[in-house]
Amino acid sequence: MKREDVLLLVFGIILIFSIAMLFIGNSKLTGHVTSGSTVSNVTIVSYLSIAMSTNLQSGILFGSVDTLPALNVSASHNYDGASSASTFFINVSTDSNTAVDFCIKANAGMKNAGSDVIGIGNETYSNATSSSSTVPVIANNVSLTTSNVKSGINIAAGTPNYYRYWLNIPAAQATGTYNNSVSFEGVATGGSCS
Amino acid sequence: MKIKGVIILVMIAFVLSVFSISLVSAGVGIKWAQESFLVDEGEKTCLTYSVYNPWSEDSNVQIELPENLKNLLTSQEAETKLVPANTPSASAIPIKFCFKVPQVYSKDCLVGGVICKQECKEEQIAYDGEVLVKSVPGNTEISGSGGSATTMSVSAPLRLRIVCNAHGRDFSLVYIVLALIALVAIIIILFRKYRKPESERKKEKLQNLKEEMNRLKGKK
Repeated sequence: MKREDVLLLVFGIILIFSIAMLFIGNSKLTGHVTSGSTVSNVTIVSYLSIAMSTNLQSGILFGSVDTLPALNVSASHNYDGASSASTFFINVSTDSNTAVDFCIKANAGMKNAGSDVIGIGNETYSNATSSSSTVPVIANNVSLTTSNVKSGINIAAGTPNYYRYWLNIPAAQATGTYNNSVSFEGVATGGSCS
Repeated sequence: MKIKGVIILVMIAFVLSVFSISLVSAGVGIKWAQESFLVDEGEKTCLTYSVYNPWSEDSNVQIELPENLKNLLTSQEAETKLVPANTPSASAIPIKFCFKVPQVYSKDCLVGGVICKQECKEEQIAYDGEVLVKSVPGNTEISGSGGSATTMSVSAPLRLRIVCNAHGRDFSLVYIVLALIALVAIIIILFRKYRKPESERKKEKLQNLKEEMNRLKGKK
C-alpha cells in the first residue's frame, strides 16, 4: 500500500469519526443534558382595568402664577366638579376581579426651557375614594417622588380614586413654563409597584 | 317635605357621580394567569399576556418590563396594540413580548469560551419584577401653561426562574476542526494523485510494479 493511500485512509477515518461524534453529540443521546424546562402554572386568573378622567389625562395644570413665593397653588381641576369635588380621578373598572392599589411617581422636578427646576418635593398630592369640597384633604398632602409610591390602596372595582395636586413655588424661582410627567400604575392590591 | 328634599339631593348627587365617572379617557386592562416562568439561560423567550379595554374609547397599549429587568434582559421586542373600546376581560387580546435571557450561571471552559461544561452547582437564580402594560397616548406634551403630563399603566407580577442546563464538556468545535483538517488533507492528496494524466499515472504504476518484481526477484 502506497504512503498516500495510507494517508487517505487515516484522514478518511478521522473525517468519518468527527462527523459521527458531531451527530452523536447533537442527538442528545449522550446523557449530557440532565434537566429540561417545564412551565409552572398558577390556577388563578387575575384581571384589572383602570382609566383616568379626561381632565387627569389632559395633564395637571397649575395655570399662571404672578406672585412669588406661592404656596399650595391649586391645580386647575382640583375643585371644578359637582359640589366642588375634584375631577382628577382614576376609575377602576367593574370588569376587574381584584381591588387595585395605585402607585404614583414623577419623572423629575418640573423644568423649564432653560433647565431651571422646581424641586419635585414642591409638587404635592392628596387622594381619597370620594370627593367633596374638602376631600381629598390638603392636610394629607404628600410630595411626589421619582420612585413609585403607593397612593390609593385597595380601591374596589367600580370605585374612583380622587386626587388633588398643589404646587409650592419658591420666591427665587426663575420665570418660565415648567413641565414634568406624572405616571400612575395600577397593581392588584397587595402587589408591588414597578 | 324634608325627606323628599333629601331624596332629591341624593338622586342629584348619584346622577352627578355617575356622570363624572363616565368622563373617563381610554383605559387599559391586563389579564394574566401565570406569574412564574421557567426560562432557559441564553435563549430568546416570549411571554404572552392579555389586554382589554372595557372603557368607551379605543386605546393603544404597549407591554414592557420595569427598569431592573430591562437592564438584565436584552433584545426586548414589544408590539404596540390597538385595543378597541368595549373589549371586556372575557375577550381580552393576547399581546406578546420577547426578550433574551442572559447567561447567568458559570461555565468551566478549557479554551476561552469554547469546550465548556456546566455543572449547575449554584442555586437557581430568579428575577422578580412586574410586566407593565402602558397606555400609549397620542401626545404627552402639556399644551398652554406649565404642569405635569400624565401617563398610566397596569402591571402584573412576574417571576423568572432561570433554568441551568447541566452538560458535559462540549467537544463539537474540536470535531468540526478535525473534520475540516481531514477533509482538506483528503482533497490535497486526491488532487496531487489525480492531477497527472492517466497515461503518466499508468506508467508510474507500471514502474512501481517493475520495481516491486525486481525486489522480489532479488529476495529469491
